[in-house]
Amino acid sequence: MALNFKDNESVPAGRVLLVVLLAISLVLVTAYSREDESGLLHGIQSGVQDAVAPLKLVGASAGAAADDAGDAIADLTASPETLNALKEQNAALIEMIAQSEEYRQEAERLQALLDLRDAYDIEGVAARVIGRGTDAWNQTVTIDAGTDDGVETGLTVTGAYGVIGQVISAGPSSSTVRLITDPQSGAAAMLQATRAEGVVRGSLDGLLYLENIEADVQVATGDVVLTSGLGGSYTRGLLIGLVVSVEGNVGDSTRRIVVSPNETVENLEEVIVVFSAKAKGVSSVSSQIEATTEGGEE
Amino acid sequence: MGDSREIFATFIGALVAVVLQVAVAPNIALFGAVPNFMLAYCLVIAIARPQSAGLVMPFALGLVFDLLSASPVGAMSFLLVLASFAASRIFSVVDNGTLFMPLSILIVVTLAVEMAYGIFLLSSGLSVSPIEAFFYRGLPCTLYDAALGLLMFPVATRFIVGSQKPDMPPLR
Repeated sequence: MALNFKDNESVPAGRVLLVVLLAISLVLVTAYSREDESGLLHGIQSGVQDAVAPLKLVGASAGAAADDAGDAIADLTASPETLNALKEQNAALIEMIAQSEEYRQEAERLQALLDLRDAYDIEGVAARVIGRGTDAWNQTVTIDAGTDDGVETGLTVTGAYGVIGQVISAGPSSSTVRLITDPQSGAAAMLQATRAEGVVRGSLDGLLYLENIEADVQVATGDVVLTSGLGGSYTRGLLIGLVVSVEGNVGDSTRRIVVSPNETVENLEEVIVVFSAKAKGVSSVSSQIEATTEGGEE
Repeated sequence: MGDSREIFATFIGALVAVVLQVAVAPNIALFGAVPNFMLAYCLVIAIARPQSAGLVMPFALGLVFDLLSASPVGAMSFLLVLASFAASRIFSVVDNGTLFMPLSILIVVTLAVEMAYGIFLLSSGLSVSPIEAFFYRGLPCTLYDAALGLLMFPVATRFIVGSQKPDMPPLR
């Protein structure tokens, strides 16, 4: 009775089915939790995500088109006479400008990625973000590089300004990246100025928190936070972000240190999956972030 | 004839829910709340067909949801089976012919599923406080899913339930 969407079983049979399906679910959860990332269920999950990656891309394109349509509708309500008069004359020009602007922005983003790659001497593969997570509890993105490109589970992923997450599953042609802002992410980190080590964790509100820093360590707004490489989960020396707020004083073990994430998921379009990197250009990248932040505040 | 039409329509609806979850849901997220089309659809079917709603479809949809996410496989299938069963049984008992009851059940069961899913994740290593999980995910997702369910309900009663239940509950 594969995919029996209507069961007219008697009440006891229905309850037996209920118990059987619940039991199967619990067995699956248990098996999933006990197996490692190369296990059968993780493999199936990765395969399914790889298979639906093109559909995510279509959805993202449709989403962008819907945004454009929304803008167009807003424009139409501005002034119909003026718009009608200018519409035909300017249509081609507007399209060209939009396309040029798109190319310019893409070139800027790619240039920033190249700068980052040069700054860190990164060996890795560039990829485009083709989809976002399908549920509310996991902050993930799908990228169009997979095992065929050398991507493996556990590799660090950077955006134009630094670390944005880690590969959690890789299919042949696409991979899923858990963002560092996800509460399930935890990156071993250190403050560049004091070399004090801690852990950067994501949260449901989208902020990053630097935890496990010794109470006597001086932390100030603007301090640079880097991956420390401890535990081997993230490549060492990559920029995570800057300290934007410190709630509490030195000696207070319950200090809340907020770190600005490099990029938000909405702005992610191109990334680099890092195979290896040498930290040599953190200062240039962090000053670039500071400049961007100041520019945004003005 | 009527049964096979209903099964076919339910199956098509489930496929549409999967496609919407993959292609649309991530792009209409609000403040981190990604709508769960599969949950809304399962509950709508359970409420629209309380006597004949099966459990295999919620199980299959839950499994697909789990495979599409980065969470433990089996968690959402467990919850959708349980939620569909509970929603259909509760509705059978409390149905008074108004839209209030389906909507109330939709909201309560959705909230229960979202919070139970959060508890699943908390037990598997998600390091956030339950209060944070409630305010940042549980509550907004519940409202979003309930709104989707409310939109789906008349469509389901029109196209899926068909002649078996011709009267949609009045808006009162």
